[in-house]
Amino acid sequence: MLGSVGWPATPPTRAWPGPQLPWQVAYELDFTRLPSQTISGSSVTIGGVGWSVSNATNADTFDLLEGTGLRVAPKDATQFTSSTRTAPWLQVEFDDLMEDHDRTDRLIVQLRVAIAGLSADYQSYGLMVGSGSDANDREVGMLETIWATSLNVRSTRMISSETNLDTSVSAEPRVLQCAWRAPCVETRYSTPEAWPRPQDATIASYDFVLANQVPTTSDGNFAAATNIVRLWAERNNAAAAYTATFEAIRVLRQQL
Amino acid sequence: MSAWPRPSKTAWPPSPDRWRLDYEVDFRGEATQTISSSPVTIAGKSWTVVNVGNADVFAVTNGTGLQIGPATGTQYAQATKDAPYLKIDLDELVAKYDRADRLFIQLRVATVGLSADYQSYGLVVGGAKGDGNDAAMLENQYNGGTVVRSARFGGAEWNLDSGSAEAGFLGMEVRPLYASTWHSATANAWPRPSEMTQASKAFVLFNSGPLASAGWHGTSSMNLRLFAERNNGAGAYTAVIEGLRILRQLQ
Repeated sequence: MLGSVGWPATPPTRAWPGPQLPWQVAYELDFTRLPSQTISGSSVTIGGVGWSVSNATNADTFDLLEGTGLRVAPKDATQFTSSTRTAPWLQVEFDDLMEDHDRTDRLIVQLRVAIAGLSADYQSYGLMVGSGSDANDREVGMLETIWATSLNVRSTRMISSETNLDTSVSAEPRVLQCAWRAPCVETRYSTPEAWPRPQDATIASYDFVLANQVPTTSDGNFAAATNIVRLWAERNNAAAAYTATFEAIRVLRQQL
Repeated sequence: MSAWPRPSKTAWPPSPDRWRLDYEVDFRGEATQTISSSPVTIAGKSWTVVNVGNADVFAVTNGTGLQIGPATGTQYAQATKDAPYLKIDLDELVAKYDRADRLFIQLRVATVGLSADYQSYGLVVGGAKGDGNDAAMLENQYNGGTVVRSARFGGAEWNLDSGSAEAGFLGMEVRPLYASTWHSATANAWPRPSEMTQASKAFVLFNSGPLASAGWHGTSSMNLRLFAERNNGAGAYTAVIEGLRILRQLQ
C-alpha cells in the first residue's frame, strides 16, 4: 500500500538543512554588567548559571570585571588544539542556558568580544561548540580570532584530527558566531560591535560535519554527548601577553 | 543546580516516528527482459545501468527477480567500482522526497549460497557526486565465511562485519547525513524495521571539514545502487534481488 496522494504537503527541496524558521533569542548574558569576581577552581556561577572552569592556573588574569566583561589572559605556552588543551577556558551546557533544549534545535551562538590587539604567533581566543563533553573533546567546531603570521578568523573541526580554515581579516571581529544544526556547524564573524542578524554576519566556513562516525556496533560519542559552548584564550610560541575580553554572549534558537 | 556534568536528556538522533510505505517493487512480478544498455525501465522507473559489460547475467526474469551475475575480477569498493550495478535517484522512487526525510530501504534477496572470497551483492545509498563515495553500503559477502558487511565510503573505506549467514533481507535507514544498517533472515513477509537485527549503528555519510564554499553534502541528490561483485577468482554466481521497498518518516 502506497502513501496517499499529495503527501507530504510541503514542496520538495533537496536543501539540507531545511528552510529557515524564525530565530528567537533563547539566552543572553552581558558580562560587562556582572559584578566583579575572580575565576578560579573548577566551577563558577555566572549570571546564575554554573560554568565549568579548566586550566585556571594557566591564566595571568581570569575574572569578571564590571564594566569590562569576562577577561582571560592566558599564560605563555598554553594551547587549545586537538591534541593539547592547556589554555584556560569556561564551558556551559546548552541545557543549562535554555529550557527544553533538544539536540534537534538549531542554535546560533554569538559572542561579542573586545579588540585584544593580537600581534604575534600564536595569540588566539574564541568559542567552541559541539558534543565536547567526552574525554577528548572530539567532534566539535571552533571559531577563533588568531594571529598566525597575520590576523585571521579560523574555523576548526576537531575529530580524530584537527582541520582548519583561515580567513584573513584586517581587524579583529567584534562578534564571532557559530551556528549549530546537528551534526553540522557553520561559522561567521562581524566587525561592528552591534549584534548582527545571523545572515548579516560574514561567513567564515560553510556547514561542516562534526561527527565522523564509521560503521560501528555501539553508539558513538556524538550520539551520547551533551552539547556545550566553551570560551577560551591561548598564547603560544612566546607571544606577548594579552587579555581576551568577552563582553556578551547570546544564543538564538529555532525549534523544529 | 543539577550535578555536573549532567547526562544528555535528548539523545541524537532522536527517536523514530512511525514508518509508512512509500515505494515497493516486486521484481519477480515484472516482465522478463535482458539488461544490456543504459537506461533500463523496470516497473515504470528508469534506472541507470553501469558496467553492463562486466556481467555474465544481467536481467529481470519473471518469477525470479532482478538477476546480476558479475564477471570475475569485478569489485564494488571505495577505490574500484567496476562491478555491474543499477542506479537511481531516490527522488525518482519516493514522491516529493526531501533530504530531511528519514527513509528505511529494504531489499529482499534470494540466498544464493555465497562460497568464496569475494562474492558479494547488496545496496549502496549516498551522494550522487564523487563516483558514489560519501555513501553507505550493505551487502551479503563471503570473506572467509559468510557475513553481512556494512561499509562507509568517503576518503577511505570502513567496514564492519556481522552475522554469519546470508541475510534474506537487507535494510538501511537513511536520515540526514547518517545511515544505519540492518538485516534479517528470509521469511515470507517483509519484516518491520524493528524486527530486523542491527548490523551497524548510525554512521556519518559525509565527512566535510571547514569549507570556503557550500559543501555538496548540503546540495547533492541521493541515489540508490544495487550491485553484485566477484573478485579474487571466486566462482561464478548470480545474485537475485526479489524486491525493493522504501519506508519513510517525515521530519
